[in-house]
Amino acid sequence: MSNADTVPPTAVIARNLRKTYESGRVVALDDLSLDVAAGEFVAICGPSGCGKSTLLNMITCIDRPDSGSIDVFDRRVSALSPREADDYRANDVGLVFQLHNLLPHLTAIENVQTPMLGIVADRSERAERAAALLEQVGMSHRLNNLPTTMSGGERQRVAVARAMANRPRLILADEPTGSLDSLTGQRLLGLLTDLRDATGVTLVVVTHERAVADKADRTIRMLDGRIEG
Amino acid sequence: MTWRTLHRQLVRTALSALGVAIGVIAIVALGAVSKGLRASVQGGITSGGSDMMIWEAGVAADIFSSLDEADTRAKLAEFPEITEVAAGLSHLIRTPGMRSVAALQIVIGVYPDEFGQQAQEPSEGRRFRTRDEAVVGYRFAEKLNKKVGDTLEVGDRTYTIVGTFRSGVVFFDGAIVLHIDEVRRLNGRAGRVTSFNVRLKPGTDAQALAGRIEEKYPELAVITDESEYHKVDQGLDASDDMVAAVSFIALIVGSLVIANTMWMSVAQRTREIGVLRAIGWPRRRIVGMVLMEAFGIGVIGCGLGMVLGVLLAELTRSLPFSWQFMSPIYPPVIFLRAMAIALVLSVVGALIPALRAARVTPVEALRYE
Repeated sequence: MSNADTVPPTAVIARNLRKTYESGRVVALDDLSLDVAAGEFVAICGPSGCGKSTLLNMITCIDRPDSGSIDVFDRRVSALSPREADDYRANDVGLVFQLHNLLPHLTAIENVQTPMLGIVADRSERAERAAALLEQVGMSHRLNNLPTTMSGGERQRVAVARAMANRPRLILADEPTGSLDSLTGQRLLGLLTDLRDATGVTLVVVTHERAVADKADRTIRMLDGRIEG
Repeated sequence: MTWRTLHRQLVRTALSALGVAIGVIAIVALGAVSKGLRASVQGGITSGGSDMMIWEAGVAADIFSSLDEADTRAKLAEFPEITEVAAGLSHLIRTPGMRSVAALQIVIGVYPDEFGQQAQEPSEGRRFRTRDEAVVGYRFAEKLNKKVGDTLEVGDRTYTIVGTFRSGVVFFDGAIVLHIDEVRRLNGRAGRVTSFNVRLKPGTDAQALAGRIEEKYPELAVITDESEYHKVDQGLDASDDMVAAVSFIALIVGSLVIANTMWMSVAQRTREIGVLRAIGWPRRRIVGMVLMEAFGIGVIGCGLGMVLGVLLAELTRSLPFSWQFMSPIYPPVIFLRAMAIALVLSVVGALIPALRAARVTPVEALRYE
């Protein structure tokens, strides 16, 4: 049974998040509250520096709010210990970056397996699961290719497969189409929505592209660390 | 993943492995030579069925030992446990037919009727009987291209080679063996010998007897085992100290090379490490990854160092001077010690870079270009 089969109705509940940098001079998040339903595709839009990526970092637990709380699938992730946060990111969250951030010396199938190390003990199971995920994203013909031999779109597809490696309930993508041409970006977006439809995974995508926002179930606009409207 | 990373940076991996290999080369090559020397000394002590050796006490090196033959024989005759003695007189000359300044040649003088010559029992030909005959070790024969029946010029005299031998003792196998009086004529030490080999009655406690001889005659040094050889020559102990010192320095260098390599590697892969942290890799796995890479370099360096160490040690068999004294041997303990030290130091060298890698935060790393 995948994690996606047992999701509670609300995926993310953020309350009164505040995050500042440079001793409080720069306010990245300002009393921000947000709910994301399980299985929902939410696009977070806004100009550069409005706090989109900071919010994503809070949800993924790679950064901490100064105040406020974040619950992900009924778990208070803003209060996790560093070790619990590692475990949470490995098991419950899939990340897609603007730049694919694949390991350059590993093949596609090996890259997809990296999040499984330490979680899926059986090597053949890891390989089988990675191959299946790459097939799902249309990359079964590039299993043993290095990222350097792939196009930008192909790399992002592998990155999506890697994000799905441990069957997360939540995928967070930070400008996933930002480095792609519009057609390739559309295809990647189609892939993400197909995955959402097939697995019920919750999608939170940070973007400044209207085309991405148009595909989402809901668009949240941010400005100066707050949600507009 | 470890091997992929090492393979990706092949030149850096190779150079770092070479840094580790230097330490391993030192341990293997010097260790093998040192072990070979000790084995040869032990072979000399027990040559011809000898149980102990008698030297002049207090000399700086065994070659300087000089005992009055008649006086020492009389002293040894006081101990009834001693059944037989064989006098030996060692001398160094320039190797006949070789002009190199390093071409020193060991000449050993023994009596033809004493058991001393049994240590050099010819495998071809026969023992010498007269003062114009000689037997030579097989290494000398090979080096100088001599065989039974050939003549040999030593000093102003010509000797006929009547036998060649393989004793298994490197000092002997590279030597010329003559009648003891011929060697005395060469070095002008009439009535003197360098040492005696001694046979004891079966069941005699050699250590206890050695103690009694030295107590009664402090001018004599009695050696029953190579571990006591420092009484007449500090060379073996000095070589062991040198092995330890050179190995230590070389290994520290290797460890620093590893530390530098891994430090650079971590710095260059900050973003990569940050991504791994972001996708849930715990700090301990990051540390493990870096340490495994260092371990991998250590393994490669170890293999390389062992091969080069053996080649270097073997080279001593053919160098102009050392071929007469060095016959490296390779007990497994040398390789095990080299491997253990090199691998441990590789990992230790990588500890600080590994901890640095573990401190990489995903937020900072993902901003890093």
